[in-house]
Amino acid sequence: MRHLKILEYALSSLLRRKYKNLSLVAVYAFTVSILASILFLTHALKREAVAVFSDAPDLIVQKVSAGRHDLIPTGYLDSIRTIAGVGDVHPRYWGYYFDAMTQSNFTFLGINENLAGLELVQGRMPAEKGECTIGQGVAQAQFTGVGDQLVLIDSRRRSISFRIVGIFDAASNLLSNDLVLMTQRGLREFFDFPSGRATDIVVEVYNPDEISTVAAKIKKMLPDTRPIAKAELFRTYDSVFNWRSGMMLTLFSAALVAFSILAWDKAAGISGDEKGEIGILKAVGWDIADILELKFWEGIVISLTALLVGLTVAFVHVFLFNAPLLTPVLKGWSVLFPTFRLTPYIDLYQVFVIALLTVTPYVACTVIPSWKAAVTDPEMVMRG
Amino acid sequence: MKKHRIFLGMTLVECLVLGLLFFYSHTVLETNEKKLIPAKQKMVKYLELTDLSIWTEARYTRHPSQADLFTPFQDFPSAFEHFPAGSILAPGRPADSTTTLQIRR
Amino acid sequence: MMEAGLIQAEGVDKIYNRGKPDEIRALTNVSLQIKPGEVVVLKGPSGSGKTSLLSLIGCMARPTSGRVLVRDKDVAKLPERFLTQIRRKTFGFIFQQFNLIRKADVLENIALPLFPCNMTMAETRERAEAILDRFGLSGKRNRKVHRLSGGEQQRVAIARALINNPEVLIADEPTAHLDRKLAEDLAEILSALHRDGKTVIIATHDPFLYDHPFVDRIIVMQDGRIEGVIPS
Repeated sequence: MRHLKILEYALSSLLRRKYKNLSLVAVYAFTVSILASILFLTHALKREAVAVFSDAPDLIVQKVSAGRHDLIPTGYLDSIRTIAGVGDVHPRYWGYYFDAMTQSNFTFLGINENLAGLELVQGRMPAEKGECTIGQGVAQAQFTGVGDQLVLIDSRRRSISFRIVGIFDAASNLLSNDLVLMTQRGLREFFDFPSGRATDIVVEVYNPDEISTVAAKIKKMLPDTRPIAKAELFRTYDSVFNWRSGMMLTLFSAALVAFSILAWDKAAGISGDEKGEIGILKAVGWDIADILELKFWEGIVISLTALLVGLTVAFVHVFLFNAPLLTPVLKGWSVLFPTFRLTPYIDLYQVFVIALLTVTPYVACTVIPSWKAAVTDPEMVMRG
Repeated sequence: MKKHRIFLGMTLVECLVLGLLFFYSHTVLETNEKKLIPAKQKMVKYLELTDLSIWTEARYTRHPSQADLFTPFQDFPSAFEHFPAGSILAPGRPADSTTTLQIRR
Repeated sequence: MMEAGLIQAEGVDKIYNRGKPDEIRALTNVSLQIKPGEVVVLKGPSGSGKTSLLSLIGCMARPTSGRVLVRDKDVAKLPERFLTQIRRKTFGFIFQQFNLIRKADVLENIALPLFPCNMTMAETRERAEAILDRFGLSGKRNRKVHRLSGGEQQRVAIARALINNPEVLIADEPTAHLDRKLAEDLAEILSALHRDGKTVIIATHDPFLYDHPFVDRIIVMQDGRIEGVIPS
């Protein structure tokens, strides 16, 4: 009962400085919502990557020439097939294309002609060399749809037109936004691939535990290659959205510092007014513990409200509105940027960390400075 | 003297809203995991994809898992990185022990 | 032990900022005794140590040397927590500057001493309302204190001092900011309290108060010492 009454008094005391405290809650909630948005977004992307790439190739072998990624001789396929534990080995044909008209980069991918249709495609997969299936981003950049022609300039500066036979669903944007699928033959002709060369080689390894052994063997057998294991792919994605390396968070930490200064100023720098108030409370029979409890409640009310509002705003922002405030930061130079609807993976541990990182320091910087005022003799109030 | 009730009530409502949002996310998650995720997995498997197509400005941002540490410099000699994508992702990684050739003496 | 000593001071010294250049000797060897139900006035010019003595009696500070006993308990030896308890239960204070929380409303100011007590919100409210009635402030319960007149503020301060039904009322220069009419009202309230059997200790240099018939004893102070007691 006593606690509730002190809470009641804390609320009146906060309401007495309504505008100051409301603006504080607003700034605080905004800070929390940005922090939470970043964490929600990166966590969801990370989880999405981990979930989606579970069936990615076990091992990809690139050729490295003069320190750079080079086209790999298809002759390497036979060497790799001799390694024990290796299943299917086949070449991948893909590359990048800069579209001068839209100033955007596309990713071209050559596929087998007999590939079955996919669920996330409107239309079908390219079956002959003049056909292509494109991602939403490409379709939007080119203002095209199924049945239209996609006109591209090849390496001999000839314009080649492909008939669009399918477009990927928006739901797959995170994977397919900039893709242009064509048949392997079509792609090789378009890029004028030298015969006997592929972009890289996909290696199937029967036993997942042996992937690294196989990789080492390939590296030994073919010293000019760089095998990339599936585990490395996951590790890449783990660190891609690693918040410690995030520039967003670096920028954000500046905001955080600014907020800390504001909070410190507002919460910690207790004014003569507040000191007087503490003196009065002591004089009328409040204990030190009561006064500290009062300050504790004041801190909790502000920071808990800001936390809950901030988390709610962040959730709505990221998962219902697809993070419109963060995408410009995330987007950077990209001309094609996927509009994606994230699967709302929420990490409760993360929410807990946000709560801990925001509420505790604030409450501490409310309570601690009032300690000094609370332990002095209340006599000073008698002297005005 | 009802402020504490209003506050506690509001806090409870906020918690409830947040709880409902989290619950909603959980249901969306389940339907997605039943439908969308398997479809995407199938897509990855068939097309042998390795990366998310978030940043298309450079090789090492489009296919971070396929690029190595030098890639940023190959795009443009004086380009440190494509900000901000390049700062959010760590471009490639030095090959680890499994993929490094043991130096023969 | 002396009979029925509610408050006793024995050879009390009070020195502020001891050992520092701005050391002030506020009280020197002060001894007095106050019986329950007495109205005592501490009289003297400003700087004579009245306020210091009041704050020692009211357990707001501890003596530098000597003893202050409240119901035979040595205040200096009690831990802070008990001092607060005594302050809350035994004393009601009326300050020279009223010391109200200016932007809070009347009801809250009056209920201030009750917030840290173990009683329900409803009880707290009831008690505050009752005392509001008694001082004719019911109509202004939601008014912010800084919008009240001086006399009303004074009444709020007295109501707050009395809400815990203390045995001893301590008032420091209570008429300093009041005109004659309001001072008379105050004297009326104080004598009513006296009739109820409360102990009242007033520090003042206002003749209107110390010459008032309800005063039992006047303690004359000068330079931190007791100069004399009337009637002796």
